[in-house]
Amino acid sequence: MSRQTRDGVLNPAYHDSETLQMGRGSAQRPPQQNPYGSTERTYDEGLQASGRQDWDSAEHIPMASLAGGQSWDQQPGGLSNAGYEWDSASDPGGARAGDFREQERPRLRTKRSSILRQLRMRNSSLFFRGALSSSALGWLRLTAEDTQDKTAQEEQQLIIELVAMSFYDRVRAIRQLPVSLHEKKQIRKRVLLEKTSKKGRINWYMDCRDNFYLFHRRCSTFVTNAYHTLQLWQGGLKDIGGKFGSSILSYFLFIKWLLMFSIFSFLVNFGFITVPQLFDRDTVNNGTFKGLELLTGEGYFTQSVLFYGFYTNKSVTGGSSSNSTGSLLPYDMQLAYFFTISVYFVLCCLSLVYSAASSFHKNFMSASELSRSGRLLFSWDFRVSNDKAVRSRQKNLSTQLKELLSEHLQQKLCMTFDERIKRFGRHLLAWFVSSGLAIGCSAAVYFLCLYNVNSSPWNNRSDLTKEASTLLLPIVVSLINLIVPLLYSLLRNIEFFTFPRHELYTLILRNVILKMSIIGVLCYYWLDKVVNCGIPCWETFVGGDIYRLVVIDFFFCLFACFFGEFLHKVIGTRFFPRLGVPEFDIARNVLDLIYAQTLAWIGIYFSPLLPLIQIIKLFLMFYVKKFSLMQNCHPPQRSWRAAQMMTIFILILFFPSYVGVLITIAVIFWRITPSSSCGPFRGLNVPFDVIANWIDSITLPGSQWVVWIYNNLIQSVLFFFILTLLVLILIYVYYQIVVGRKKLIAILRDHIANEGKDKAFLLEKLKKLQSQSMSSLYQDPSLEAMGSKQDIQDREVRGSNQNGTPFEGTFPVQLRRAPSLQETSNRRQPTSFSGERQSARDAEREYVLPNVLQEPQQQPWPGAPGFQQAPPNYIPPDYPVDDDSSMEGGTLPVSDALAQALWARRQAEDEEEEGRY
Amino acid sequence: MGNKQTIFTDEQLDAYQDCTFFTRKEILRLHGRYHELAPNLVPMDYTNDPDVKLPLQLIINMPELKENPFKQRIVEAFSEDGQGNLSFNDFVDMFSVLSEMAPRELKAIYAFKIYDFNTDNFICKSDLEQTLNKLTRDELAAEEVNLVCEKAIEEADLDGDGKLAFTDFENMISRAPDFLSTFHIRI
Repeated sequence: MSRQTRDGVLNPAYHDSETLQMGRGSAQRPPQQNPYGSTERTYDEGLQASGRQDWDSAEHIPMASLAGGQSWDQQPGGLSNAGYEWDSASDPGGARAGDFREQERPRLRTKRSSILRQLRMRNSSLFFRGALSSSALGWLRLTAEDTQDKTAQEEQQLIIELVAMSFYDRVRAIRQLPVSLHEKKQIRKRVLLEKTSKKGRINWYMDCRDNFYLFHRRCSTFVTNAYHTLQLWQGGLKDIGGKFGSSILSYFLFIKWLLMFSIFSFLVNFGFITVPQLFDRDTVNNGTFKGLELLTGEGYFTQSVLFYGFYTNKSVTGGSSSNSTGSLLPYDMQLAYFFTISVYFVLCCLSLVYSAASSFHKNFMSASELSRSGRLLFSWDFRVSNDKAVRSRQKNLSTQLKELLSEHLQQKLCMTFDERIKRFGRHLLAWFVSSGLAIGCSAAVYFLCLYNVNSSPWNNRSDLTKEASTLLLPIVVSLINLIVPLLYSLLRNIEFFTFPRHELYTLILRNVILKMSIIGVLCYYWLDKVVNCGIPCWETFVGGDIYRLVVIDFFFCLFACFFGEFLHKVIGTRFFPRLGVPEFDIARNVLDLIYAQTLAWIGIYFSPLLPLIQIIKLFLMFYVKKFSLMQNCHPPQRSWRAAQMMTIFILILFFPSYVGVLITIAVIFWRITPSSSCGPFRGLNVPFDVIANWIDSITLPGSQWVVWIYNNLIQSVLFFFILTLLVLILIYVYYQIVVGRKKLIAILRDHIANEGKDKAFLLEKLKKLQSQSMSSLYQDPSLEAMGSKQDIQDREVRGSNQNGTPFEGTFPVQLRRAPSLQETSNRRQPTSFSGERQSARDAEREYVLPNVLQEPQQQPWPGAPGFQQAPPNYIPPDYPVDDDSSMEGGTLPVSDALAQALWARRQAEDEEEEGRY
Repeated sequence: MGNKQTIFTDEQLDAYQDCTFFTRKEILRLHGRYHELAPNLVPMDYTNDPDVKLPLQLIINMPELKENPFKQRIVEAFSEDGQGNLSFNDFVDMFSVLSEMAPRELKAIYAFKIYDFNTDNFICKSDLEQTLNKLTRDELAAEEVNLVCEKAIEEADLDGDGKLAFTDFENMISRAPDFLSTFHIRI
């Protein structure tokens, strides 16, 4: 076939190049030979077929372009009829809606949201109606009434669907309609009217439900109002957002998020551990409060509810035994302590996983290779409302764009082997230095701890200097946390990164390693050295250590704000203008928060009220940081991908931090013997024995299932093995789904690109035909009719010859279409297609072919009897009809049919006009 | 709720709640802000839906919008007559779309409208140039502007027609996770 003769067709790259595509479409080939025209619908149908296979929700999507095609099919060939059909089928509103649905198809949605989606799509067509009527409508000579009818129909349909929805869904759907509020209100009014008029027929259950929702909302207004007033820092957050934009705002939102965490854990611990303990009158605190305790957590505090050691291991009965209120059920402190801590960690885990997943879903899922310039162009932060901030933002953007351009203009620099080695060496050196620093710091902390525990006689804690000396360790740790990150950021002077993002990630990674190794060393010291060195109540000792670390860390944050940022600003503005105003380092600050949160989590076991300290700390920190930010800092120079970084931070909070804490707590529960003289678990071998004892003591007849669960599930290795296996299988299934969808997305994207080319091609052709036919009207029609007939015959013969099949009656297309389709869809694949994609394409074609084979006799074709009076000169004369290479298969592309129909319609109109005169 | 009832009837407030992402209280607050803009024009009593429209000049002087380089386009995109005159309905609509609760799809539609300066339903090169000039306060040279726009179109244009249709735009927005948080004005 013609594939051999046309190298342009053989070369797939040719098909992907836009310019050539256009050129060929308009000038080099006759309209019949356009492969895109012939494959257009098969693609659609293929997609629809696969859509039916894969997604139930895709069924509601009627293809506007298909509808157009089918209206052709119903015509056995009458010219004027065809024109008429074209007229009604090519309603631009519908076509536009089709466009939107097209983009809709790949998405997997649930049934309900698909309805919502559909509603929105429908209204998108309303939404864009305005401009279409000016350009496309006039172009296609469609009357305004057509579209109005269509719109009215759509609205009617929309209202019917809305009426059928439940109250909640309806409100959601109406809210999301992209029309003006006035129209929304109209629609709502009509829906309500419809509902009231149909009341008899509509389910009373739905009515009741609607009323309930309405009532519920009215009642909940009060609650939400209270909630809104309770929402913290609304004004402060708005100020920060207005002055510094979303990126820095995200830091403060993170503080708020952690604060909510701490408040929750405080409430849980206070409610279930501390309050019952307060009812217990047997343990009393007989220390005296001196003031330094606030800083050290020693002395008075060691004998208070703040620390583990104070809690009793008995059952609290409420009130003293002599009192009459002692009729309350006994409250087992051991169980309460164990369950509160474990349930809290489980809830933390759920909430962390949930936030990480939703954040990941929102920010990472679809964020593939982003077009940077496009991102910058539409990246304006609408929150920013401060004039200075706006100006600096504009400046930043223009420098970034300039950088982008210079990168763009610079050819990708090819590094020589020497340079590579040098660069690699620098990275190695930097990593060596940073890991060395981390190891050195950890070792220093470890030896300091050992010195501390060996030298401090814990039985003689009353001495004030001794008490103060316990502050040495937290101060050293905080100093390390303050200084070493600064050293790390100095490392960028010896390293060179191609992308600034990599630099940031490396910095974060190093800081995380440092902080986690310090915490790891501390945990080892607490769980191994402290436990074994004979301290009477080692849990309280560890709790005190953590308390001091948390408090001192807070003071260092304040110092860093003052000395780091304030002095930097004073020096930068007064003495060395070159130094400038400090930049707010989001990454370092967030990592500090994560470090503090890790400590607070570990401390929960040893000091149940530590969340209270954390709450106070975060609360103050918000104001201090905000003040320092407003006074001293300027926003970061580079565009900071706030949303993605936040996801990373939540993941860091989850992975090394939370998981590490979980391991520590698990080791404490299952492996470490609690101290024998204090705390709720005194006298037990390991804290977990609480559960074993409890199960043994269960004698109530109805609660045998608890024992069963304990014996068969909790204690069985097989159960956990199966659980793990199930999780792994689930992960694998989801992984496979993800892989499959990625392939599908690639295919669909390719499809969009091809569709776009088709569209451009068809538009071009239509325009050309229009101008052509307009001019041809003034020429002698009979001559041209002869000419065109000649052309058609010519083509028929040639087409049948090339196909090697005889031309038979009225079904020429049927015989040729299938091979030509296969051929064209083969050719449309670029060379870079991987094997997998190829196979996917093949699968797609399998759906396509049967459908296509059934339909061709419905296609109008110039050779068919109905086309005997084919319009004269519908082929623009500048197409080289005689060009041998342009003939392939003699197929009739849709575009040609469109053109014919259009022309026929024009002619009919003209005839009408003549008749009138 | 004594004096609040005089501004809107219960039915009106229900309608607003059904059609926007705001609560009762926020709608009343918005009315307060709207009233503040032109105390002489805007009545306190809205029970009979008075036909009051505030001109663009008044709206863009709100502190939330004042420094926004796209303030004019924002207001125009939400005004029903396209001239920038906002009725209270349009005003509520604007902040409803720009609120935190609005879904990405809805935001994308209006963002597209805002960036489509010549309202031809495509973001073409001239739109991008205007956007860029507003973003950088005309600091880039014409040649640079040209290059950036070309590059942006080239990267985002899926169907190869040389301009960004809504589909292209939505696709790009869906890959820019910050969009949802930045296309937001807290009132």
